[in-house]
Amino acid sequence: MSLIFLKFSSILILLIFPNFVNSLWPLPQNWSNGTSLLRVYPTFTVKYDPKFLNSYTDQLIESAKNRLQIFLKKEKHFSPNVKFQIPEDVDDSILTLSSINIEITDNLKKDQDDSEEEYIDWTYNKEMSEGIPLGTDESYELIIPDKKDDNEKELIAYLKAPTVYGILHGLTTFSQLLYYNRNYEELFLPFAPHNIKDFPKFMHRGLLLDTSRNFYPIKEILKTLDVMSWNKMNVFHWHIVDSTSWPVVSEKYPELSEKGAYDPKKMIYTKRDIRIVDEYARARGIRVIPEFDMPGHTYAIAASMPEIMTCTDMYPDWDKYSAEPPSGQLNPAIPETYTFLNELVPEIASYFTDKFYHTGGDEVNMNCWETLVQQGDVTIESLLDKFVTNLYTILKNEGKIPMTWQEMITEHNIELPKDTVVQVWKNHTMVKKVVEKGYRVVTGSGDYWYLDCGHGGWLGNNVEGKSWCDPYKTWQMIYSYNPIKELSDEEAKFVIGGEVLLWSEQSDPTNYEQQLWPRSSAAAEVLWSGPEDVDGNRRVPDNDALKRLNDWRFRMVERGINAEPLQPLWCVLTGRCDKAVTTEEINKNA
Amino acid sequence: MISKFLFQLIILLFYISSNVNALWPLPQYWVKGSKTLSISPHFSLKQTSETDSILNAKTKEILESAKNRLLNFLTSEKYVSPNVKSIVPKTIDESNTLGCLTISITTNASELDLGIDESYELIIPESQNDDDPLTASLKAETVFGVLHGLNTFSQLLYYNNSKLLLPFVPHNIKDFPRFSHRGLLLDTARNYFPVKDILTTLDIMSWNKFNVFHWHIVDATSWPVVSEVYPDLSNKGAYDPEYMVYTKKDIKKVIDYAKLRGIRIIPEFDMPGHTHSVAESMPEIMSCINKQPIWTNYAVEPPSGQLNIALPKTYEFIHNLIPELTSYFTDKYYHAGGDEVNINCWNTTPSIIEYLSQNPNSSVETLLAKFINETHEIVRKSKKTPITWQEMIVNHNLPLMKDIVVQVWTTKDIVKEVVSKGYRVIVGSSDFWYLDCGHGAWVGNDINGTSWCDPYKTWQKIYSYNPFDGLTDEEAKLVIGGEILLWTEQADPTNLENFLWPRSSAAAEILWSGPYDTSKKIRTPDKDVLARLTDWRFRMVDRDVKAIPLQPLWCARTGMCDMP
Repeated sequence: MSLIFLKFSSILILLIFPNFVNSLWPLPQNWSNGTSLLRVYPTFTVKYDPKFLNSYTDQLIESAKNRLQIFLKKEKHFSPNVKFQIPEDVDDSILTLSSINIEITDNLKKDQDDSEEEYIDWTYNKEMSEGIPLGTDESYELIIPDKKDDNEKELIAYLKAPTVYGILHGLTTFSQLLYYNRNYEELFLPFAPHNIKDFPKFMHRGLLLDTSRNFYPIKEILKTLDVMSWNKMNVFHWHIVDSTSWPVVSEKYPELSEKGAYDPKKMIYTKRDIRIVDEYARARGIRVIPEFDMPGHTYAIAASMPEIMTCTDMYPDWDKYSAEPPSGQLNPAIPETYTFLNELVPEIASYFTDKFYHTGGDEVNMNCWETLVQQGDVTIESLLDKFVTNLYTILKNEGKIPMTWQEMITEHNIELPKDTVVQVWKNHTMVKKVVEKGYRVVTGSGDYWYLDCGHGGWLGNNVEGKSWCDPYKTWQMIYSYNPIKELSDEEAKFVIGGEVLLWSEQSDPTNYEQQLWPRSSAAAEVLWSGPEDVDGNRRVPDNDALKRLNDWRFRMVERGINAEPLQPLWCVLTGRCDKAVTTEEINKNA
Repeated sequence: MISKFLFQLIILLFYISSNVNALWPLPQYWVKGSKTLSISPHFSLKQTSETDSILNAKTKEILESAKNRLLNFLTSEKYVSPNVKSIVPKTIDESNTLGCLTISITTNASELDLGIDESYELIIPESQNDDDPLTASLKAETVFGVLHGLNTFSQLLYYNNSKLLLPFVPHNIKDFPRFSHRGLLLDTARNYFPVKDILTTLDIMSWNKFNVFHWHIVDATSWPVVSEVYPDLSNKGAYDPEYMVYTKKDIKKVIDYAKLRGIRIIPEFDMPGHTHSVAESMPEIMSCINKQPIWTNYAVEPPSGQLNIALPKTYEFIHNLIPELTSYFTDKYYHAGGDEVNINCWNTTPSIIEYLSQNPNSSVETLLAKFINETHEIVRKSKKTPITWQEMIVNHNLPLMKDIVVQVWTTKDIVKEVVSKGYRVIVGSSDFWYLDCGHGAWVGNDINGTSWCDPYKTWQKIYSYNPFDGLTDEEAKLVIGGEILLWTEQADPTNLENFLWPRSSAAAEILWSGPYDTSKKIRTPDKDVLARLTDWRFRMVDRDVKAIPLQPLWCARTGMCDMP
């Protein structure tokens, strides 16, 4: 009996004293903290010197400030596992953090040759119509003191960054430091002082959403952009059209959406809708890269222009012509197809401000084109080459840099311009193959970062069907992916980042948030914080990572996001639900 | 040229896609026509005067509440089907307007129980001889049959140009359930669900003609039920003693709400395993509490902990607690748990070792038999029938009385084993009907972990389950029904509806319509079934249920996404 009691009381102690860290996600590169507790009132202010801003950066800062202030008023996150203690006499003993002082440092670097008002920071004179360049400095430094000098009236936090985008990340980090206390009905900032120096490991930190297989209203996309920004993701890869539907309204070819959208009035994206998304994203430091997948995955075009299509909706043996129904590919052998490209691509490319444009290029079915080459001496591969060359030339003329799915390089061996960014999706080993050929890579393959896997077969009449990329990718599987695995340092430089991907065969607004979050957060940390910590230790989905992620998941839920639970609440509270250690493991360690 | 021709053919197919409407679950007998009615703005629901004279206050309350819900649908439902194309006349002829639905009930039975009559007959004519407004009729033995009939009626309606239409009249439906126990299990202990989420689930269940909510209300992780005899159970064992509890009042609210929808609430207080949460307040009656880090030796998942079945204090506890808990619930059945007891847990408990050394004729198995028999006796004294998980019969071979119902959960072949021993069975095993499968490992530090019952159970897999598989006609009579189950290691209010719907609907049809159609053919998840289920899924979404999409909308519309 006494033995049981002893064991039980030790468990109680563990329950009461779980680890006392707070839970930034993604984890900053450098972060030291202390043990002081500060209070933060909703009257907390964000201060900056307006003379260092132009009308654009001013607008971005204002909108970020408003978002932070909404959090300060509304956020009621009390962590399930981050505990801090509040003294009884809270008013006398706890300092109040009253404001944060923002400084964009690159704006201070004056160009010596120019007049005083002009600065060399690229953000300065840019127009609203320009995108955020790849590789923009996103670093920031956040200092939250716990003591004030005698001559200071207030306790002030400092946030410095070379660009406005670093500031956005810094404010996001700041918001994650706040915890609500139910008894006091106030926000507290524990574990001060904080000293954070942070920057992203990868410059392309993306999330792909397929809005073609099922449609997502603009408001869902905007919400996703918000959640992405909290996770410091900076690329929204908008897989906007596919075989199943063409929701984009073209002015040149209005019938594309009139006949190819699921609903020509209610389930479309107009130029204006796209501009709203693009602008909303940039205000959160996110680039929007559209993908108009061609020449495969284009059946939706057949609804209005069957004359430029091949193997349209073969049924019921669609599997000979495409990876999934409905089949249909652009016809690369006829001039009408190139007229179409010449007219359409410049128009749709112009809807987006980002420099990059994803051309698609995945899963081209060669059998579909078999009939095209029977008469002449051309090969199917040369037809594909012709198509790609034409498409890339159009993009070059529009000042866009192409992205492509891996097959163009790994299966078709097409010579692409070296500035092309190649996206790897089949499996992670392809990364090395692509960088060896000298292309930049965005990674995120079906074996690690596909959020749709493990949901069973979606084809009808298929009792035992599984998803092609079974099993379900847990947050742990996602977190364990190393984008630069087995690459030399030189090769690793070609990996500009990665994307977590949601294909929407079995997703729509009813369930996409649950599929995206918090699993995408796991990818976000790998991309921002990197696969290794500052000491070169490989990050693993261990107990500490799980605790932080659980905390972050509950904060996202508190912010109105249907992020799914990773464990029973008991596990979140105690952190005692790890995979059981085996006796052999214990013996080995002893 | 070939492709152009094909394309035109496809366009044609697109427009002549299935013109059936989509009742779910499918009625036993249903004949329909090809005309379309519109619902009159003055549409009314009334019962015959004979019915009025029969009904008592209780049945009247149930009927009125169901009528209100239907009238609510008539004003709020704006459902447009993705794949049911009704033949809509350009102008709606005013004489083709349905003005009234007349309800008649022949008995005033007002209590829910296993085996009550739930049948109904619904007739919607296309025309009427006299000048009276066109009237449909709904006849049932009990008010609970009427509830089902009204749900069927609501599924016949489609919204079009600001009017509600009722296509494919005349309808002649005679319907009854194949199984009398059609359940859904929700685990509210691993993660907590506020009462409002449970009420919403009950609503959706009733539309799917489910009639049992199996409330797996406590487990190792938390004890949300507030006991007046042992208040510390929830004070210390609930996730939050204030916000994450079910009071007696909450439970009554759930029961009353369910009853108005024809649903029984069967609580499960799982014992003697899965009880770690009791240890938070009463460690003295527990064994192997939260063993770490080798919890696998003591429980199937953390935290470990079982009631100590050797101590008199444990028996005192169940004698005080179970009568109180049974009194919270009105149903005649009570689920006493009994799954996954870990023998090693007890074999390593000092007090049990000591007991066994002093009582050489006993063993852990005899102690277990004593505990289960005593629990079941307490349940019977409370005028309830115990339900147990399969292990007590299958693994431990306890000689339990034949009045109990045994719930099979591991694999479907266990059903035969249990019925051959003469027990009634509830089916719903993990190889077909576990909704949580396929979501990966939830224990920490496990990169390649998959769920123990991988893969994910698709609606097709669920639909392909035949509760009678391998049974003789005589054995089949012992299968009283089945349950679809959601264990909530990875579910909570954020994703509850995603997990449940529309996959639970697939089980609902097997349980209501039965695994065989009228021509005795086994039902399969074919194209027609998918078209109906897709329609029903979109109707549920229109009713604000976060039922997940089964396919791209293109497939939902064309029905052309079958296996090649």
